[in-house]
Amino acid sequence: MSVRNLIAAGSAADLLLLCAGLVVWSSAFVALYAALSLGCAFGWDAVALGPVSLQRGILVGLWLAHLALIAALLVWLRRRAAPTEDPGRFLARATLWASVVALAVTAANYAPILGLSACL
Amino acid sequence: MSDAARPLVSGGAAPRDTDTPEDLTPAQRDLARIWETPPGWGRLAAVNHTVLGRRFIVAAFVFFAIGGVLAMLIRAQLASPRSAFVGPELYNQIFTMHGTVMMFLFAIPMFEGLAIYLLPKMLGARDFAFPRLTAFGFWCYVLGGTILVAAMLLGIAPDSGWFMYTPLSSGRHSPGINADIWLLGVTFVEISAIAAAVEFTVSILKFRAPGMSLSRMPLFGWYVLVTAGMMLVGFPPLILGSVLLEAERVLDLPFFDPARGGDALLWQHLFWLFGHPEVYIIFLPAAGLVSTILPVLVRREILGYAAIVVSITVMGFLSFGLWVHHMFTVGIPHLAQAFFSAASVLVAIPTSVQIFLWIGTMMAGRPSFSVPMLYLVGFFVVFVCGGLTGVMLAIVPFDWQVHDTHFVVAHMHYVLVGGFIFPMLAAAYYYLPHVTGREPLYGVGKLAFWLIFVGFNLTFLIMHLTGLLGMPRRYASFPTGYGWDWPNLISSVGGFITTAGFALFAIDMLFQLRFGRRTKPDPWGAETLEWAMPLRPRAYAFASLPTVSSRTPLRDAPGLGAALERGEGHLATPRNRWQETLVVDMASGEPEHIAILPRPTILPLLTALAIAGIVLALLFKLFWLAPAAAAAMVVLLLLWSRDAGQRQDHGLLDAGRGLALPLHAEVARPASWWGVVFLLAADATAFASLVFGALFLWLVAPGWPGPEVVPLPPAKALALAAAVLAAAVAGRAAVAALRRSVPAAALALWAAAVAEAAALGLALWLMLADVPAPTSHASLAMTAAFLAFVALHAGIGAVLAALGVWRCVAGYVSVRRAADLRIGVLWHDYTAATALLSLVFLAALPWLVPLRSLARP
Repeated sequence: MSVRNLIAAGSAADLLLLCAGLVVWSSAFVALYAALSLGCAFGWDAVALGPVSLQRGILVGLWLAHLALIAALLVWLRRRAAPTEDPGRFLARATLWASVVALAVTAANYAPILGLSACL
Repeated sequence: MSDAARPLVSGGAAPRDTDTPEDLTPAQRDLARIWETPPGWGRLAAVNHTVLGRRFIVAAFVFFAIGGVLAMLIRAQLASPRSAFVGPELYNQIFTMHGTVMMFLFAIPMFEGLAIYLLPKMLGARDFAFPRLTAFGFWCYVLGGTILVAAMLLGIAPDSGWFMYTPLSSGRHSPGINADIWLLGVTFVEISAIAAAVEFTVSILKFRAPGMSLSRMPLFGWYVLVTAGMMLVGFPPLILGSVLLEAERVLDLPFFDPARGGDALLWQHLFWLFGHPEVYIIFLPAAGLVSTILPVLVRREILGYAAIVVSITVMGFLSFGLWVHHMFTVGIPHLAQAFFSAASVLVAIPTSVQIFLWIGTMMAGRPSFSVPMLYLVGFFVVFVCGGLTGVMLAIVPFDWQVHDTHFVVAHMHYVLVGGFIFPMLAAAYYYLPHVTGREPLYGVGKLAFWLIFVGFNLTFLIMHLTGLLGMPRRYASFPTGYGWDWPNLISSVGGFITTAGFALFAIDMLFQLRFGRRTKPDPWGAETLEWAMPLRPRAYAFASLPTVSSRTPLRDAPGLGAALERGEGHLATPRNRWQETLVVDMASGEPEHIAILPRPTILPLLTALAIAGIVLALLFKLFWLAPAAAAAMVVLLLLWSRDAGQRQDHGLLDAGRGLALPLHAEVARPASWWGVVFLLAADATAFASLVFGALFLWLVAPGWPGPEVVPLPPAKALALAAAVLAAAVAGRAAVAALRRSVPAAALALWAAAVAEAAALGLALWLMLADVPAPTSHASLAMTAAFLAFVALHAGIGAVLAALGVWRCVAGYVSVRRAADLRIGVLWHDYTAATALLSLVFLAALPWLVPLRSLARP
């Protein structure tokens, strides 16, 4: 039996996708920490933006944008044609679950934005 | 995946102690001749993974013993109040070196050694992708470690704590060479870690048995893959921080000096950006061993393979969101602390997923209390306790209370000893037959376990109380009357019991090596490929390479080891004295090409010695010697390329079992191309850390805005931008020109070399002529640092392009053999990108700096 028949097709791109949701979580971390530091330094928390401060508005906006990005990734992962054989099937399932975890972590990790004082 | 209890299988060939030529087939004799490490002084030229893995392990254990002696000195000092055993100066060196040795010279190298020894065999390859890099990493590690230990023996060891906080470690407060020894010595050792990370990443992704897709890869491969990725991202911030701090100490560039626009907290950020992932870098490979050993010992396939892969991937990322939990008391806004606190708690979830899956596997299996199992139970108890106190420390108000107390010391030891040393001890007994060909005798191992387990808990359980009672870390003595006397005495007694256990373990290992019974093949009934070979393993590991169709190849084919020995796999017949192994597609494991690996050479040792020369020249302020040693290093590195590649096209070659594949020199993306990709990923992290450092100082450091920032002369800056862009274009033109002729490609490479040399000259000119007094303020020092970064990369680019010209002329390059040129494209593109980003940042700085005056004080 040839080796080619023993194995299913796969690609390195699947491996990168495994990390995609968590890369968005990392991006959220950097963006929120940077925006918080800038806002506290330049007094954005003292500027009103409707019912909230400019500081909180920017932070919530960044947070929601990253959540939306992971949600879009999840929708795309669900819709794309799922491979029926390994390793594609295994990587597709692992990628889906890693992205679900990334969404949950991004939601939980930055939830203090909603309540805590920003610059104390 | 079947849930059935697993059968006992026997996968290897007959037991043996040493081979005689009569034991081997003609093909095996040829393989042995091709792959052997020369005897005598030739041992210094070893590049074989089995040899180097063993050396790494032995060296790491020697450093562990040194660290252990230092721990005993600490416990002797703290056994009683007002101790006069050693004075504060010596005590500072002792606890600094204990932490440094255990973290940098024991834990990381020990995992590297085990991975180097095991991984190629587990993955079904004959060696790693870059054997000379493995050897180079080993020598950098040993020489760097020797410098640190020699300094200790001379009484000039680092004494600012293993995390070297500024301003204590800066020139003003640590004027001797103690801190320089740490900064240069540890950076030297970190070169070894980066080398290993590149080696692991490429080898795991590409050097596997045909058919071993990622879904069939042993879990240890996944663990080390994630760990290696973390090392590529985690170590560069510390390397950058060490370079900046050494530059402050030697050149007076004030990166960390608050009086001149620097900030001591920048060091803490850069250190812990490395330091916290480091904990997971140490834990994950050990957890990988648990996932490997435990299912074999309980006779049950591991539960939740995919869940474990997802968990370790998540841990790999989350561990980078925790670093500020070491800095909760430095005055960071509560909301930022909440981000890091939440991430620190969340990371416990993927860790727990693994622990519950291991427990579930044990419950579903049939555990027997062998010695490795005993150590695994020790791991569960100790590590779970450490994890729980870790969650406590992640909670900000609690952390404030116990920060810098012995509670943190106790927590850290529970995590690291529980999460690393106990699994390593289990692995030592489990893999002893593999490494030595001898079976362990159990009595002594069990006694050693109980001494270590009881002694460890006696030492560190009560140390939580010592910390809660308020005793601070790193104090050479303590007064009586605070309730610290008895807990410290008990900790010291426990420490000596633990040491007795480790001494017994070491004696046991030596005795097994000398007197143990010869082992049978696959004594544990494991089902992974490392057991499909004669024990002890031969230099070529596999006489022929297996094809894999599941995660349990030895269950599928119980006689696989013997079949491979008979040459029934791939690449069974050696040719041209080539060290051949197969390279596969990353995800599918489909065979792609044949790699010819380099033979033993002294060059890695000589190159490491040249770097040691640079380190020692800088340490002893012999600045005239450093450039000479650097030149020697460059020449030696260039000599490496003589044995890389081919001077003729071979086309498709027989790989056995009806497979015909090209050689690595004739594919678009050989291992070396991937190696440079991952090296550049690490480099990009260093660059990002530099950008972070500059922005951090701009936003947070006192003393900003400093003196007026003079913009770089536009003509020179534009010329520099044009030069790096021209080099990138010329590098790509060389690849295109290769379709016409090799000389045309060489001409384009000449243009790239000239452009890079011009960029080097312009960057140096800007740095020396247009950055006024960089010692006066951190903004100017940062400007100089960016230009130095560009100059360094342009210089390397010039050398690479010139090397490419030589390889074209020498016949290493053809239309089919174009990887050299493609690697050059990677470097020139990266240099151009980082140089342009640097120039944009430096052009924006004169506008950025005045904005700081708008910020709150």
